[in-house]
Formats: sequence, C-alpha cells, structure tokens
Amino acid sequence: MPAAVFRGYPPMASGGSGCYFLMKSWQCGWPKVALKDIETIKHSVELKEFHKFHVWIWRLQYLFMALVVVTAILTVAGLFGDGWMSRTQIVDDDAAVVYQRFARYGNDTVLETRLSGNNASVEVPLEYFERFRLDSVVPEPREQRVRGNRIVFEFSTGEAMTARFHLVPRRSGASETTIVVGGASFPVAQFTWP
Amino acid sequence: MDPVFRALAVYFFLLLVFRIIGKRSLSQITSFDFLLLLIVGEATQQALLGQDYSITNALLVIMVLVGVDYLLAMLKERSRAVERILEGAPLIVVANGKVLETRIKRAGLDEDDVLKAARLKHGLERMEQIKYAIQERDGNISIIPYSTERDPA
Repeated sequence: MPAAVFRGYPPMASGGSGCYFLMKSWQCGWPKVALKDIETIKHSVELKEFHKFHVWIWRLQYLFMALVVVTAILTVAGLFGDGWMSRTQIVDDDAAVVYQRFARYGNDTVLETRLSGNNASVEVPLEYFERFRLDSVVPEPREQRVRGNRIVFEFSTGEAMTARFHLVPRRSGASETTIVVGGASFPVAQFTWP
Repeated sequence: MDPVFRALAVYFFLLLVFRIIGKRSLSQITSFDFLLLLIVGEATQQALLGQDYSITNALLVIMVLVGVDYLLAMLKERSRAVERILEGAPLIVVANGKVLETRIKRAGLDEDDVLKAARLKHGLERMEQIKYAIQERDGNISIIPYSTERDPA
C-alpha cells in the first residue's frame, strides 16, 4: 500500500473495484490527496516541482472523473434528449401530446399528438416553427392552413389516431408555446442544447 | 460570429479535458489512445463546422484556432503561472533508486514505464541504477542514472 494516499480505502490494485473506490471517495467528501501525502525528498536536480499545483490537478482529475460519470448517467436518463427525464406526456381526455423536453441543435425530435376521431386538428403557433424546422408530418394532413398566428393541420380520420411532427431545432435555448390538439390546449416547454 | 464561438468552445473544452486527464507524450500513446484521438477528431469536426462547409468557414475556424493557440503561447511566455497551468510541472517519481509510490501512482505511471524509459535512454537494467526519474511537463520520463563511479551495481 503506498504511503497513505488513499488511507482507509482499499486500493484498486488490491481488489477494490474502480466504482467502489470512486464511491467511497465521493461519500467522504474531498478526495484524500493532500499535500502531506506527497513524499518529501531532497534532490539535486535543478527543477521546481510545485507540489501544491500537483495536488490541485489530482483533485481536478477526481472531480472530472466524477463529472464524466454523472454526465453519462444524466445522458442515459435523458438530460440531452431521448430518456425518461426528457419524455413528456400531457393527456387531456381525448387528446394527448408527447414530446421531448430536451433536444439538441440540428438533431431530429418528434412531437407526437394523439387525436380523437371527432376533432382531428392540430394548431401550432407560427413562431414555434421559427425555432423548429418542420421536416415532415406523418400521416400527411388532409389540409394545412394559416389561421391568425397559427398553422392548422387537419387530418382526415374518423377514429383515434396519432400524428407525428418531425422537427429539427434551429435555435438553441428555451422555448415555450401552446399547441391546440383536438380543441384542447397543451403547454409545450422545451430546451434545445447548443 | 458563429464559427468563432464554435472554434473557441471546442478549443477550450479539448484543452481542459486533455489537460485534466493527464500527461502522456506522443511517443507514449498506445494504439487505443491513437484510436481515441481519431474518434475525438471526427466528433469535433461537425461541431467546428456546423452545417457550413464553405471554404470561408473552414478558413475562419483555422484562423481562430491558430490565433488562440498563438495567444496562449504568448501568455505562457509572459507568465510562469499560466505556463504551469497550461503545461503542468515536472514531478520526480524515482529518487535514489526508490520508487516514490504516491507520486508515481498519481502521475499515472508505474515502475514498468520508468524501467522502459531507463532501458531505452540509458540501457539501464534495474531500478537501483536510476538516481532520479522525472515525469516532465510534456509527459516524457527523464532518467538521470547514477554516475558509473557511484553505480551501486
């Protein structure tokens, strides 16, 4: 065991796993790398070692590794889109809207609307399409027209159906809008990562 | 302004990541490191250029990258602290034939790395023949052997 670098923790080389090591370090707060842990030596080499600086860098390495792990977990969870953190579903009687709260600039995202057979129309504010480019609507709407500051998509259906709007974010940042699906209003709040 | 910000963001992010991850000189990189560098290069290309594949955009990005690199080189020349932050500092990992365990471990090295450098640079056979081994700022390992009259072997 090296001179007390990781005092109290099993060193990785003696069977402790990397995860356990990282977890224990994190639980106990600041990683146990201190200035006093660096072996003091007298040497004749003309160089300055800057021990404090090295300790600072080693601690940054710990933090960076922790950040990498946290980022990986959050990515899987959907912080950058496509995951439970990102998927948002709002249901109102006969209609529903499903969308990704988080999107990435230039990367496809889908806004899904579930419509009843009685009123198969979707109204989207024009300004929404300034932030998101509409690539396609599946199935294709029967009619598409502008009403005031909104675009109305009419679908020909006599029964419940799902219309998918394939969008590509063209601006990063937060956006909020209200979409009307089958007469019911749904707030849609999204954040596009740069 | 977009290409400028893109280039700056990518440059400083990569600088931060590679500075924190640790030192490893080009001569020390493994085939996996090389593969990683290729992937990083491929992943950065899109972020740097976006959807603008014009020559103007490419030239702008190159100019910004070279400019910021030159600026940092100037800062390093003028300030020892900036130089230390960007380049790191040397660290003695073996002294008087003894491996300094804390230092060598934290530097991301092991005894084999030191012995390899000792064999390659001085034809040394054992750790006891090394007076000092130093991890330099660029990640290379310098070996200072005992002079022949003091060689314990």
